[in-house]
Amino acid sequence: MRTLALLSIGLAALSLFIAYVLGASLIWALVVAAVGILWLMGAWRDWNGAASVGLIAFVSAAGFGIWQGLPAGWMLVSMILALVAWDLDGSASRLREAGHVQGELALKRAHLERLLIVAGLGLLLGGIALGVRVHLGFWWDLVLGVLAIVCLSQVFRLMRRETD
Amino acid sequence: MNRLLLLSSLILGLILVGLATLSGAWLALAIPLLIYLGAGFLYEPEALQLKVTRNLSADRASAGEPVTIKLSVTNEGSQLEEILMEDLVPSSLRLIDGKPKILASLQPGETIRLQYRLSGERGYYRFPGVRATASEHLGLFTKQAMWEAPGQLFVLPEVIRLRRVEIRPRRTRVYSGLIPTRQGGPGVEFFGVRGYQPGDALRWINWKASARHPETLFINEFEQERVADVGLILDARQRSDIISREGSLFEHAIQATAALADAFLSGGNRVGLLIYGGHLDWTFPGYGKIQREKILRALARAVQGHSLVFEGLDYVPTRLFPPRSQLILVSPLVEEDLDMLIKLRAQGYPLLIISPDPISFEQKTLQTGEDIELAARIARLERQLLLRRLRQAGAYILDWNVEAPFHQAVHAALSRTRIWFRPLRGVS
Repeated sequence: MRTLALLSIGLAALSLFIAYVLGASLIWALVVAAVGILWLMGAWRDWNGAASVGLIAFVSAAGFGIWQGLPAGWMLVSMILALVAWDLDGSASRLREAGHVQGELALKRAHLERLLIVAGLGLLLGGIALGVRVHLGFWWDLVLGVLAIVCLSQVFRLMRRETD
Repeated sequence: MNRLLLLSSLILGLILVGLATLSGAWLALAIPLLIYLGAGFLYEPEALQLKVTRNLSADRASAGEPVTIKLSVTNEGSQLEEILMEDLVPSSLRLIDGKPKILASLQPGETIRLQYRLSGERGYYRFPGVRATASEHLGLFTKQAMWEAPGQLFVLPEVIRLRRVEIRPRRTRVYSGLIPTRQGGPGVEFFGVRGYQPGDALRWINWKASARHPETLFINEFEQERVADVGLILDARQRSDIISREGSLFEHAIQATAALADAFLSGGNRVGLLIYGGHLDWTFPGYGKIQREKILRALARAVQGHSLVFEGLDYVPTRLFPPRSQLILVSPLVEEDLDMLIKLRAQGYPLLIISPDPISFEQKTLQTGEDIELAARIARLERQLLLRRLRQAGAYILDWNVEAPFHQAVHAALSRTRIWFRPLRGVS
């Protein structure tokens, strides 16, 4: 799990780095590489909260790249890889904390299968979404925005309540 | 950081920025995160229905003795993709091997077993239960519940075997035992001579005495030996204890009480125990092995306490002890105890005080220096004065420096009959 997580971090950083280099933003590419190295170090040394900070940093970097007009495909790939790394890090820490794991191999396999499906589906639907272009007016945008906020808030609240 | 909260915030942020900047790419970035969240929600674990049973290899053990704990968890509900079972072990117990946690996947009806070994210091330990945390494989949605799996463990104090502890209470019980009663009758030790009466065994005729008085026959009498009532009082007041790096003086007092209880019960006596601290813990007097177990369990449970009511020994419930029975107080003693102990003597209780010496115990852990030496000397003088007053009141005191093993201290001081055991003048 840990090796896969490190690999995912490296790949996520590499895809972001390539995207920034292709967009001729060498300074930002170096910043992204530095963040990736920091996350790698955090994952290697088990720094508390390194994965969460890393995910936030990579999602922000992907968003910034889109704002800069860099290739969105690379950003999507990089963000999915960061999500995978974050998930694997969480799974590894759960296994580590438990100490004794019954059927460890089967658990890992089931987890990786689900993660692969989720990541693949995310890549597919995200890729399709990048290709679709719909023009919305200001008022539509406003209504959809408010609707999205209300709906997502309700969904998150419901999820949290059910989890508690 | 809460994983669900982090993910939700990122999704919300991406969608809001996407809508604000009218950029579909931002919204597209949110899609993988939304799918991840949805997958977690889809496989969210249902309400936990478990059956947890606990099995201890022993419910009583001595200090440091390993005890094996076995937990069995059966899933009586739907499938649980990941479940972390965590047995909540009292923090003062020490794990020897194994872990009190297990992570597993549980199908309906499936059972997992958890086993580990631990040991501990003297005490009474209750296992509060088992914490179960179930989640789906992505670990976003969790359900946690506590399951009762009752279990208790008594770690009993070490019992030092004492060879003989001589006591001479003024009142004994009717059953034969080992305590001399100051009454003639069947026994071992010579008590006196008396005139022959029909029915007396001829083998006990004292021929020398009879030869001096040709008119009469004299026979030897022996001292009757019977069992007695013994009341042990353990001082568990926080104010009288000394705690240092090497431990607590209270633990030595407990060890002494356990050894005394064992010695008196082995001699067939009826023994009761009163633990006097934050509250009163009374073990009703009894005989034999069951009583020994009750007393050891009470000692395992014993903790020091502070209470304004029981700050002094004034509220020792003397009515719990049969009149004129032997009382044994195990206490480091404080100056204010003097009056109450004199009162106990005045009420006719023979009083034996086992007093672990707090001054030498504390001094051992302090650095050497003139001030320390002077303070220790003053404290020792005060203590000697207190002990002298108690001796004058008729109490017998064993001033025990805990560096010496208890059995040696007892052997030196209490292994043969002392003057203090003789009856007081005018008291039958």
